[in-house]
Amino acid sequence: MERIKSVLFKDKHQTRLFCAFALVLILMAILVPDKFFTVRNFQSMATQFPELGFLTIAAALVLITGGIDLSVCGTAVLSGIVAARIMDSNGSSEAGLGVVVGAVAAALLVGLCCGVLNAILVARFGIAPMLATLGTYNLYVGLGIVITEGSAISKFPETFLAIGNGKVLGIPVPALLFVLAIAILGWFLSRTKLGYKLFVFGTNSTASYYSGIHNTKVLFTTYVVGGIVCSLAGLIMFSRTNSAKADFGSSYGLQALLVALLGGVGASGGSGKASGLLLSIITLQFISSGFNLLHVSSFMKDLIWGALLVLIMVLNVVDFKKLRRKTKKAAA
Amino acid sequence: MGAPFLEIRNCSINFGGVKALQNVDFSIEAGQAYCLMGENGSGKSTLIKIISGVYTATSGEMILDGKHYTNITPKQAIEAGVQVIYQDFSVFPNLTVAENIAISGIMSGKKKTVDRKKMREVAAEALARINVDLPLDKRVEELPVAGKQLVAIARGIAQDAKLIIMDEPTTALTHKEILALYEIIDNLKKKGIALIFVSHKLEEVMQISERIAILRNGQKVLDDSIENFDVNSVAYYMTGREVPDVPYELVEVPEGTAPILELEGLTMKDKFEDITLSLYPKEVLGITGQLGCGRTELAQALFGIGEYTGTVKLNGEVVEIKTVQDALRLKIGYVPEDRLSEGLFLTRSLSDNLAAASIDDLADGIRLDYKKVEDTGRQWVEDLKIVIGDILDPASSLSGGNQQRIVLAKWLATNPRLLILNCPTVGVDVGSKSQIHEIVKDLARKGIGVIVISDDIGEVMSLCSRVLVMKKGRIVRQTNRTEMTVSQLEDYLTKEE
Amino acid sequence: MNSTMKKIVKSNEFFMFAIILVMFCIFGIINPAFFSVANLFDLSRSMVETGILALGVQVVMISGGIDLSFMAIAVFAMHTVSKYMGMYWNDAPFILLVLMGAVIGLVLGLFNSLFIAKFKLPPFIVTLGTTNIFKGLCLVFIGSRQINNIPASMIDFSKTNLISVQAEQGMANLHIGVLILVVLALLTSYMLNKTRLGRSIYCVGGSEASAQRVGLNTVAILAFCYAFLGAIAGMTGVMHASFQRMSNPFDMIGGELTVIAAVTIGGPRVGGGYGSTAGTMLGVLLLTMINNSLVMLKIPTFWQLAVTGMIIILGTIMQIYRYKRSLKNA
Repeated sequence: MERIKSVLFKDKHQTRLFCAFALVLILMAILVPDKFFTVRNFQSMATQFPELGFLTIAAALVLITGGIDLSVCGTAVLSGIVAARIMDSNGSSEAGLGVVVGAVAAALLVGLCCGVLNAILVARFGIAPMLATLGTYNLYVGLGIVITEGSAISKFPETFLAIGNGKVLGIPVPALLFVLAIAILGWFLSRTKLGYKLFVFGTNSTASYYSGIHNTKVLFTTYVVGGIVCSLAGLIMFSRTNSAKADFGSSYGLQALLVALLGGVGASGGSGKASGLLLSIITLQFISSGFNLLHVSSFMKDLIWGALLVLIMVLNVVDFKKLRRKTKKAAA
Repeated sequence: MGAPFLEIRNCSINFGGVKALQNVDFSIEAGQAYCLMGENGSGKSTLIKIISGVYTATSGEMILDGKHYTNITPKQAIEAGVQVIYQDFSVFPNLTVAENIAISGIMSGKKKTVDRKKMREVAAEALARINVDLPLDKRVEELPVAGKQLVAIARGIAQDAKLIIMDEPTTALTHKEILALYEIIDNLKKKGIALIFVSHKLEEVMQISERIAILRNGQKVLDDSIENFDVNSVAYYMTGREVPDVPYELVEVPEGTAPILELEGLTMKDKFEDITLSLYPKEVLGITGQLGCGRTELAQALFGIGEYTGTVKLNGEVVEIKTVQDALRLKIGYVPEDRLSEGLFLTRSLSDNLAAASIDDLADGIRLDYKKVEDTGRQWVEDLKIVIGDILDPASSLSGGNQQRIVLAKWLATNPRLLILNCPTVGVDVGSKSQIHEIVKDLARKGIGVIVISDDIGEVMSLCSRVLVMKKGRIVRQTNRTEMTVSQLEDYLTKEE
Repeated sequence: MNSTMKKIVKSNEFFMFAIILVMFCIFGIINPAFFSVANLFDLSRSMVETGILALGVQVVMISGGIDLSFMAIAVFAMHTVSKYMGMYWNDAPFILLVLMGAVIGLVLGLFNSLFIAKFKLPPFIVTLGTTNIFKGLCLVFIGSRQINNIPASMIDFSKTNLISVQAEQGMANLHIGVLILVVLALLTSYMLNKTRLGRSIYCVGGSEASAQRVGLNTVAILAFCYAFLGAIAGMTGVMHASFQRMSNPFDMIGGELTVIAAVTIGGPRVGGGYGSTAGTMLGVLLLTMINNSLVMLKIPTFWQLAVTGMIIILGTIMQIYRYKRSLKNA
């Protein structure tokens, strides 16, 4: 209990996020309890959020280094499309297990290569991460379009579709994969040497260089791991929808950044927690599913997400106690 | 002389219950140069911020050029002729010299448009008044540090400054540039401009100001003419106690002792050339020279930064130091010059800061136990008597002296064979300075090879057993401390070959 | 004189200009139709929207910030003006519609400034959030359906040409929008170089702390930058609907990164304080030229995005390389 308390309340941002989460739950309990709290609803939510969740993890890793990665979605799309193309030209929906395994491996490899290219541009050429990934985002999506020649690839084998649609003990596979990933991320950030180096580098890269930390290595690891995580998102995305198209989820890239920032990853680098990311993505999924059940325009979701981000940022910066004291003084 | 240009009466200011200044009186006449001294947190920067209108005093009044103010705004202060030249000079790197100098005039004038010809005239005139010549169309980022400072001074002049406040004006300048600055300061005084300096360097204070005011814990403890002081008494007033200044004992190196470090013909293109030296156990080797003489590059080369040719022997063994990681493996430590940007992770905990260089030893494979990191950190804090709140507090919560000790401890945690300290006490107050010196002396006594790079002559003379003077990338003099006086060393530094 | 020449030759703008000239020649040699009046007019027409937006984005980037929300602002202004004016005052004059778009954009830009200039929140995060807010507001409260009933003057605008020349195949038309772009570019350039306000934007971008110390009102200056971009975006939104002869609220969004890329190629560094209108326009020209010419060069259009990506990457590498070299020489 003490532990939970300390996790939730030591960090003000986390506390506010948790309040938002609780508020959404309570609202749902009052407004649509019979529709919201059903196994089916939870199953459908658990299938939907992981793809954005994986992109969020990748975006968060780069944010912690003090950079901004705009290319996460591009990496996901490109690696997913490479897998789709391999399956498509090797039997389409009739492709055997071997082909699927090969396609998935190729997708992960593409993700890795995308990460390496990002890292080369940032670490070797010294390009500001935002610009470098702005370029690679266009490049990756562009290559995706070239491979698909602008159209969609669909009809994947059953074994591949299981990644995005299968269930184990009633829990959708994407959710299981995501929870596993978050657990690994949490362990990585708070219990490993590399996690420590990531934070220290993100706080002050000059000082980490002068402390003997291999900055280039840290950057390469981050972008490569990020790239692989993105390719997982791509696989899940195309498996779930049974179709691969280059402009799929083009808004996901900025959304992933939004979720990560909302989850308490600092934009200036050097801070962030896995638990914050989990809380943030689940809260946002609850909001969009809730709106769906309430038959509110699905675009309301955008509005609320944006407002929530700005609101929490303002709360983090503005000290309202001080403000109140000031107004009281003025009144007296 | 006439009425003072600036008079502050009975000024106090509180920050959330903390009395940052208590009943301070201060006055300065036109053409006078004052030095404001005090340790970090003594209230000197607060006083300056009150004069320049950034802070509003809780009580007291200020008379500026005959006008009374109770809460002056920054704009009023500028209009009354107060100009502050900050340590970072507050120039705009992306704009030209002319625009930087004329900027305040442009911004406070009535016209909404910018007349470039007029701007250049204003700038040229201001530069002429301090007798310096700078390329008007060059971007300020392309100027050396001294040039940036001159731009800042010229900007003040262009604004008809009557009182110029300079915060640590000489920290980034070479000796020659400092002498040039003194000349400009003399010139300004003759023109009837009042000057206030904030400085840590006692020697320079003695040269440029007529009076000294010393603050301690928010109170003015002393205000007197400069002749009545010497270095020791100033230090006493600043800290409120006697600061011991015991030079490092000289150790005879017995015949045949193997040196810890030997350099032979070390060269880095355009930076330094043919450096040959050796460092023996229990010795503190000082390397001094003007800014830009290659001293920092030499130190960094030994730490794996930059490409060199020549041989480096560590404990008699030839080693190659190509990267910082190589240096770390060879147990060479480097305390960088700029502790804020190069040494510390300001927002991270003290324990994280202390662990940064020894993290590979602290970790168990890829796993890292943060409890162990904290415990190790606490041990170092205790060993070096660093004053902290909690080990998990951010590094930004400490004073300069304690921060520097954290950086030192970070390297001690790697159990180094050789430790290179680059200007270890820049911006550190007198009390902490001597404590840091004691730590360094102790290291040398334990047999760790210590190289201190510094342009603080007092520091070199007190801390080092042997002194090398570098000039234009070469070692031009190598002597034992006892064979040289302070003024001789000064001569070596400034003399043109 | 000689030194002025040297300075010009060494400048980023000259470098960009040289590259564009070389590519221009290469394209023309591969396909002579590239040099035709019709193609050149078409190219200028394609620059209009990106170009005008880039003028606003560059001002924000010079101040050291970034704005992702301008496309959302443009769409909001476009859809609001198209819908309500189409419904209630179909024959309103075009200039009024554009001004309305500008005012709406200005207000939304000021909303951004509130958080960025006043609360000092990071501009990237704020505008990421407000992008969603503006988009959501527009789709939920203004409407999410395409509007075909837009004011008549907007449709007239799309048919207004500055010059019409008889070409081999039909008429070659230079659209009036090009004139608007040129006038706005000249005004922005004058504002940035010759006015106090413009110079203070460079000051804030160079060093915000220093700007405060010389007595500049940095809050007001930053507020102006985001409001300026907002107004520009609002205007562009109305023009976009005019060009398309309809208002589709899902248009434009997603294109913000392309505009930022064009501005970036043109010179401003991420930290702020650098950049010029000439450079920005050259950046826009370069990107537009390449994107427009793929067809003429017989490269399948689906290569467009990949080529854009490569241009951005090569452009930034080149810039860094040149910057490092200039520091070395100094």
